[in-house]
Amino acid sequence: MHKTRSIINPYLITLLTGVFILLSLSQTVGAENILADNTGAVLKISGKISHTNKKDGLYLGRAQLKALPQTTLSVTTPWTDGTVRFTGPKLIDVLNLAGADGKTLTAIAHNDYQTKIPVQDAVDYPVIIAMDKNGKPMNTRELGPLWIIYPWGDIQSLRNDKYYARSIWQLTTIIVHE
Amino acid sequence: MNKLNQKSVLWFLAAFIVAIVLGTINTAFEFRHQSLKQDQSFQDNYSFFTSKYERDINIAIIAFNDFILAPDNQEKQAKYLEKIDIFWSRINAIDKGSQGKKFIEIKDSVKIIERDRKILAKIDRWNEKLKTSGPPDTALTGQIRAALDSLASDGRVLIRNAQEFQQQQGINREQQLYGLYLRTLMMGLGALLAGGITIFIFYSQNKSLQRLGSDIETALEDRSQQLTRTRAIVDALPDILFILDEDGYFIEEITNNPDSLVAEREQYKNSTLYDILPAEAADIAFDGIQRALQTNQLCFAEINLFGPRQTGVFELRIAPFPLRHKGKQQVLIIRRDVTEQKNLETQLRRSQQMEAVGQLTGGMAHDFNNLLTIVLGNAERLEKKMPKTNPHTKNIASIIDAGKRAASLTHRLLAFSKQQPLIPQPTNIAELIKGLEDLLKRTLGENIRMTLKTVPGLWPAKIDSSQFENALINLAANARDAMPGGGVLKIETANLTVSDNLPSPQGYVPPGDYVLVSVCDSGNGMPEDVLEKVFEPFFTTKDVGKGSGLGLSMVYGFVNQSQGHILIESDIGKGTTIRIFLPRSDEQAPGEHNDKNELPLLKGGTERILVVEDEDRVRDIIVTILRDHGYKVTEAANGKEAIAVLNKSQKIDLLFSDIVLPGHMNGFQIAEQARIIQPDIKVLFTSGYAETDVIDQSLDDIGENLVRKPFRQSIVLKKIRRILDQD
Repeated sequence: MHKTRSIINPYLITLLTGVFILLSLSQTVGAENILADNTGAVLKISGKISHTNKKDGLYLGRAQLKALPQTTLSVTTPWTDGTVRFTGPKLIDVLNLAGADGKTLTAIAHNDYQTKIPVQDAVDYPVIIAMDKNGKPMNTRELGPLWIIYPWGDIQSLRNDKYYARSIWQLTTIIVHE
Repeated sequence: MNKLNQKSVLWFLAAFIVAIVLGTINTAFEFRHQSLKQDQSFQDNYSFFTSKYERDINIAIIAFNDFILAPDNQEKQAKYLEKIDIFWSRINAIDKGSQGKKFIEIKDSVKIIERDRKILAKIDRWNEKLKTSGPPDTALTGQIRAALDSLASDGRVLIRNAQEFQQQQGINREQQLYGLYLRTLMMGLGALLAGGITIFIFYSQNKSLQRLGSDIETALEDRSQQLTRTRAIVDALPDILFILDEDGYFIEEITNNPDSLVAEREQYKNSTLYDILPAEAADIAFDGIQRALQTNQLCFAEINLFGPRQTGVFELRIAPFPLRHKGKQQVLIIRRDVTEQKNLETQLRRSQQMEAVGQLTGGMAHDFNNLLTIVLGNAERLEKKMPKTNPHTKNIASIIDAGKRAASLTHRLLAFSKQQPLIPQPTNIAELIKGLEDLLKRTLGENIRMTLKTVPGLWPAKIDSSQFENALINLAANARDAMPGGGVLKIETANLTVSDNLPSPQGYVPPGDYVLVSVCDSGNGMPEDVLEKVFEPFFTTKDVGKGSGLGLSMVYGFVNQSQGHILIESDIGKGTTIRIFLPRSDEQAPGEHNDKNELPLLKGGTERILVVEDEDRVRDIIVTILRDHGYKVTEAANGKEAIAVLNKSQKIDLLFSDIVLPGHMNGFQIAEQARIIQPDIKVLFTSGYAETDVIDQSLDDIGENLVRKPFRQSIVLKKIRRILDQD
C-alpha cells in the first residue's frame, strides 16, 4: 500500500515555498530587466542558438512572432473552460528562427515557473507558442502574452500531467541546451 | 473407472485453474492501475495549486513592500502591478477547467476566491490611486497592505483546507485501495477456496466413483463366482430339477444332467408333461403339481417309467415356486431315481417274508418231526414185535416208508428255511445226489432232461449234506430259469487233484484233493458284467418277484464255509457251467443205506439213561425203545425235573436231551449242569430243529452228539452205544 505518499507536511511545504520565493526573486530580476529594456519584445531566446539580436540572445517582439506562419489549435486544457482556440507560431519555427541547436529547452515564465521541454516535442507535434486565445491577444491576467500549447485536441496521448507541466503560460524566456 | 470421464474432469480442472489465475491477474492489474492513477494525479494535487496561489500573493506582497520603501521608483511600482496581474491570472485560472473542478471541491474555496476577487478588485482601484497621486498616502498603503495580508491569510486557509481535504482524499483513496486490496485478496482466496472445494468435490466424486466401480466389479466377480459355484452344485446333483407352470408346461430344466428327461432341450419348448411322460406318469405328476399349488406345500409323487431314456422308479418332489412365469404359478420338481432304493426295499421285504416263512416252516417242521418220531417209533416197534408172517407186516412197512419220506420233507423244509445248523460230515456225494434225483427232476420240470454221471470210487467230502442238497436244488432252479424253452442239465462228479494253483475268474483253487461237482446247463448263458455279480446277495436277473437273488450267494457261502471253491463259466447262447470243488475227507462216509441190514444187529445196553423231552408221547416212545434194548431209563419233562433227578445221586451214564425245552433251561444248559453234578456223564442231544439263537456252542462240538428228529431206532441206538463206549 502506498500509504504516506499523499500526506504532505504543511511545515515542509511552507519552508519549500520560502526557498522557492528566494530563488525566484533572483531570477525574476534578470527576466524583468530584459523585457523592460526592450519594449515590444515578448520572448527572449538564449543558450545554444546561432542568431541573436542582442549579445545575450535573440529578442522577439509580437510582430516578429506574428510574421511567422500561424497555427490554430482547438483544445481543452485543465485550466480553461470549454474548447479554446489558441493561435500562434510553431515552436519549431521559432527555434529555427533562433538557429537553435540543442535537445532540451528550459522555458521560464513571468511567475518564475520553469519547465524543461525536449526539442523533439517540437519536432514530433505541432506545438505552438500561442499568442491569441479565441482570436484575441492574451494579457498577463489571462495567462498571456505567450503560452506553449500542445495539440491535445488531436493527440490523446498528450493529455496527461507530463505534457500539461510543459505547457508553460506567461512564457518569457527559452534557453536552449545541449 | 471410465478413462474418458477422468480426462474430461482433468480438462475441466485445468480450465478452472486458468480462469482463477486470469481473474487474479486481472484484479491485480486493476489494483496496480488504481495505484498508478494515484501517482499520476499527484502533480495536480490540491496542495500544489493552492500553494502556488499563496506563493503568488506573497510575491505580490514582497513587490508591494519593495515599492513602499521606494515610492518614487516607477520600476518597482510596475513590478508590483505586474505581480498583481500574475496573481489575477492565478485567481482567474484557478477555478477553470478540470483543475478548477478539483479546486472547488476544497472546503470554502469558492467562497474564498469570490471574496479574494472582490478584494483584488478593490486593490486594483487603490492601485489606480497610487499611480495618480504622488507620494503614496499612508492610509491608502495601509489599506492595500491589509487587503494583501487578508489575501495571504486566505491563501494559507486555502492551503490548510486543501491539505485537510487531500489528506481526507488520501485516506478515502487509501481506504478505497485497501478495499480493493481486500476485495482482490478475498476474490483470490475465494477463488482458491472455490477451486479447492471443486477439486475436493471432483476428487471425492471421482474416488467414490472409483470405489463404486471397484465395488461393483468385486460384487460382480463374487456374484459370478457364486453363480459358477451354484451351477456346479446344481450340476453335481444326481437329481433332475425342472420348473413347470401350473398347466404342466415345461419352463426350464435347471440341472445339466445327462440323465435328462429328454434327449434335446429343444423338446421342452411348448411341451407339457403329457408330451414328455407316458400318460399314466404324467397324470400322477400333474396331480402332484395341483396338490402342491393348492396346499402351497411340498408334495411327493412316484412314477414308474419303462421308456428308452428312463427306466425305473422315480420320486417327484414338487415344491411351489415363488416366482410367476407369464402370470402363471410355477412349481419346482426334483426328480430322483429311487429304483435301487425301491429294489432294496423290495428285497428287504422279501427277505423279511422269507424269514417269517422260515420261522413258520421251522415251527411246523418241529411239530411234524415230533409227530413223525412218534409214528416211526411206534411203527418200528410194531414191525419188530410182529412176526414176519403176519399179513399186516406190509402195512406197517408202508407206514414206516411214508414216515421216512415225510421226515425227509421236513428236513428239506428246514434246510430251505435256513434253520438247519451246518453239520459237516464225511459224505458220499454220489449217493447224496442220487437220493436227490427225484426232487431235482421235479424242480427242473418236464422240459428239461437231467443226466447224472458219477465215477466209481468217488472220494468222500466233509460237508453238511442238507446244505449241499439245498445248494444243488438252487443251482437246478437257476438252470431251469436259464432254459425257459427246455434243455439238458448235466450233473457230473469226479475226483480231482490240483497240483498247482488253478486260476479262475473268481480267484484260484489251491492245490489239494477235491471232489468236483459240475452242474452244466444248455441255457442262455450270462454276459460278463452279470457274471461278475452273480454271487452278490440280492443280485438277480429274474423278474421282480420271481427270485430272491439269494440262491447263488447261499451256494457260494456254503461252499466257502465248507473250505471248498466255486468256479463259474458262461458262454452266451451255449450255457453256464458251475464247478464246485469240495475238499476230500480222510474219513469214510457212513453208509446210511446199510441201516436196514443192520437192524437185527442193534446193540442195547444196561446203562442208566436220563431222557429229557417235553413232548410226552415222544418221550414215551424214546423210553420204550431204550427199555426194549435193556437200558435203565429215567424220565424228565424239563430242565428242573432233570436237575432234580441228577441231584438224587443216582448215577446217570447218559443224558439224552431235547435241545429246545420249555422253562428256563435248554438242553445245553441242562448238559452243563449235569456235568457239574456228575462229571462222568455223557450227553446226546436231539432236536426237531435248531435255532441258531439257541445254539451258542460250536456246531462242530456237538456234531457227533446230535440226532435229528424224527430219528430211526437204529440211528439212535447206534449213537447211544457209540457215545457210551467212548472213553
